[in-house]
Amino acid sequence: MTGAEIGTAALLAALVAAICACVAGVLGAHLRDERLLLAARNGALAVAAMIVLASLTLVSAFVSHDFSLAYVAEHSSRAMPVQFVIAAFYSGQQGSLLYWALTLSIFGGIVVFHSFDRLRQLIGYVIAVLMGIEAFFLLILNFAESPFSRLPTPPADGQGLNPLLYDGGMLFHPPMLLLGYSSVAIPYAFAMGALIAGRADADWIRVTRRYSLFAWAFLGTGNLLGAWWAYHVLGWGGYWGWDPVENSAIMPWLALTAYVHSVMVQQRRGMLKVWNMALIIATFCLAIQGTFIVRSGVISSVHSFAQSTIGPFFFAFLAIVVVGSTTLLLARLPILKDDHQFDGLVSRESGFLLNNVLLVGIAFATYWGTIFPVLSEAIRGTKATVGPPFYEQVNGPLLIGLLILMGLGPLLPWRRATREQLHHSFVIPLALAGVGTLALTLLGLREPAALVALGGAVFAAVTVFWEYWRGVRARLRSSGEMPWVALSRLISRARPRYGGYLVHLGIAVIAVGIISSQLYQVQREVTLPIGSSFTVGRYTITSLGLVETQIPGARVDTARLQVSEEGGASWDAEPAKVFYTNFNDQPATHVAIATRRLEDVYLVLSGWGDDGTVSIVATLNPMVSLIWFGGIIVLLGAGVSLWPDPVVAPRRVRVAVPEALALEV
Amino acid sequence: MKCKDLMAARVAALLLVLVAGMAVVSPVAAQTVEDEARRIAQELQCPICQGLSVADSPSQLATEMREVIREKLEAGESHDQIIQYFVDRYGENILETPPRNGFTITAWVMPYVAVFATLAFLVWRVTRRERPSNEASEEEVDPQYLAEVDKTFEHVRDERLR
Repeated sequence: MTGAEIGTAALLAALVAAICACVAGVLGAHLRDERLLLAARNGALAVAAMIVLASLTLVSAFVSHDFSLAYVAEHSSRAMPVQFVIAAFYSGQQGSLLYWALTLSIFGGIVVFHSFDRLRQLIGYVIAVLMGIEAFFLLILNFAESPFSRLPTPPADGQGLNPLLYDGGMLFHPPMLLLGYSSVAIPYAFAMGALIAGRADADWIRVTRRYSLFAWAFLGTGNLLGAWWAYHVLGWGGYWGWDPVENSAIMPWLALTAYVHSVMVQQRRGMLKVWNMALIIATFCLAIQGTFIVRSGVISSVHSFAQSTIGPFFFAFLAIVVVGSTTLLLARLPILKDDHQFDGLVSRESGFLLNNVLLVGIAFATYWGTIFPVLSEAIRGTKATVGPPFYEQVNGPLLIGLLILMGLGPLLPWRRATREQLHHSFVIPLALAGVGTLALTLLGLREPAALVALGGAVFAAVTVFWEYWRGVRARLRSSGEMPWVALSRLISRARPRYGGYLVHLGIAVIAVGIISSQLYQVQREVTLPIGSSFTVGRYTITSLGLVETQIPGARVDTARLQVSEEGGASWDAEPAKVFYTNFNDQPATHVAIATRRLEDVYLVLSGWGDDGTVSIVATLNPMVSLIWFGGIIVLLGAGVSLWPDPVVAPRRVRVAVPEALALEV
Repeated sequence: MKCKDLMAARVAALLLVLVAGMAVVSPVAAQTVEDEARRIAQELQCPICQGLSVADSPSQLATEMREVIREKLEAGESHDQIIQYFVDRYGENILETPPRNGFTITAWVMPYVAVFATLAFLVWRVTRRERPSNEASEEEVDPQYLAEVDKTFEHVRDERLR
């Protein structure tokens, strides 16, 4: 058997197993038949095993340069370094769909295995939904877009990768984002399982908490890595362009962010049941749409490297998901009665609700902007342009509102705030945030928008430190521990809560980076003869001329520049353009970035003349590195939240404590 | 009770005002011709590129357009005049944002209508539900008793922290 035959057979076997597991799951749950449930579980594991086999086959075909496979020939070449040859796995449509199915099958296998005994009443339906989703992807992989289709005559060498993809970002950004998309299916499957089984409690939320956070962290990291990649590779000085593909990647993340907040209200107070269902359905639909827009070529953008005909499949699937889930939700409305009502307008609950309104509002505005050109064409016959300034102006205020709310929310008590409580918990953080904002004005910031936005970020950060401080102080008073012991015990006793605060801190840091770089970016464009120089900000940039070099498979034109900082260091910068032999009309940009005191000196070679003059676009981006740094804090916080509990016993106690006291958020 | 409602309303109003007030995010005032030129270029879409503004596009045409903007600024033309110049030549779609008039104003208005309508609906629902349960509970409970309960809770919480 050749590799291609093994792969094809494994995909077919996976499809059959997925359909069988789906049927067994439904029947097993409906008839309460233990053996059928076990069969469904084993079927799900078999699907995972088969997809892993198919994926390994494809990887080995890539590594051994088996150009008889069309997919391998189209996406790799012998000259490519091995890590890019492996990454080429998900660089095209078939491979990324296989990767999607692979990650879902592994994650799904783990969660099904792990929660099989805990949620017996609905696990059959959960398996059925997961396998139904798998079956859809396997259907495409088997019959529409197989990664194992063969070429009649294998070429001597493959076409290689698009030069834009030759970057470290390629190794991390697509797999992270696709992993985020696919893992959203897990909380969705559990939600649907709970609906089908007619369970209105929060068990499914508890079981999927970690998986939702995983999906959230991966989607977020995927987006942030995409921004980092764009910043380093595209060379226009920015990191986010509100391109349709970027929009469709951020929307599920926004909806999922709303979801991970609002489920806390259901866990804690048994409220917002219908809303949480609606949110997870919306998140899953947005994730499917994100996968679809990247991979279908429906919308032309810098991200669509694939053009294909699977559009109708995805539309049909999306339609089934939307109609099916909505019908199910409507049918179950009578059992989804909330256990409690809102006690007060000012409370933690309403804080969460406002957070949801803002997050969903941002997602909606983004969606609206993305579809508006099409809408406008349908209604008045002309396409309207909706560019980045639109999103900045519409989403900016909502994002600032969210930032301020991030400071307010954690300080609000559950149920209802009394005046004394508000006074007690708000005075100091607000005062500190006020002092911080005042300090910013003293530093020379005058623009109201910048002050409000940065003040909001300061407030959000202050709240995090304040909450940590309050917790540590309470432990210090009551137990006399060393401060660092108190801190680590505080965190380990309520990881979801204190991990969540760390995430907030990271987001505040990212916000500072975004606000500063958006509002205070400086850009200069000059053409420099050899030996001449120009000044931008605190830096003087001198041209030493242009060098042309050859590297394997490409020609590189490099501008040799010397940058000297006013009263400080000086360094060499070598921005370049790379012309790959197979992609001569698409030169890749090598940006020269140097970070000085949190300010990026971002140099791009935009053109050159025969006489050695170089055209340079110099951009000063203040605080951009805070965006990446904040991302690391966010991941750290998510890690703290996700860390498994070492001891199970103490958790039981929590049930007995009056809910107003339980420390878990 | 009344006092609390007032407080709640105040906080809610404050939040609304904060969010609404920000609707007019004013860009940082430009200081030099270069910065002003870049600001204008950011408002125009490069006619031959996909999704890049004149400011960010590396294409020849965008470079020439940036040059035109600089020349016009140096000749004393205003921001609006320059924008109008490009709209006259390339049509309305050269603008990065849909015009705030006619049909395209819906692009701007819809998101805020949605957000504020949802907020209004939620506030209405929460306050409508609040009344009956409040009156029943508040009148019966003795504030001194509440204070004692609070104290006990504090104690329990300290225990838990240990």
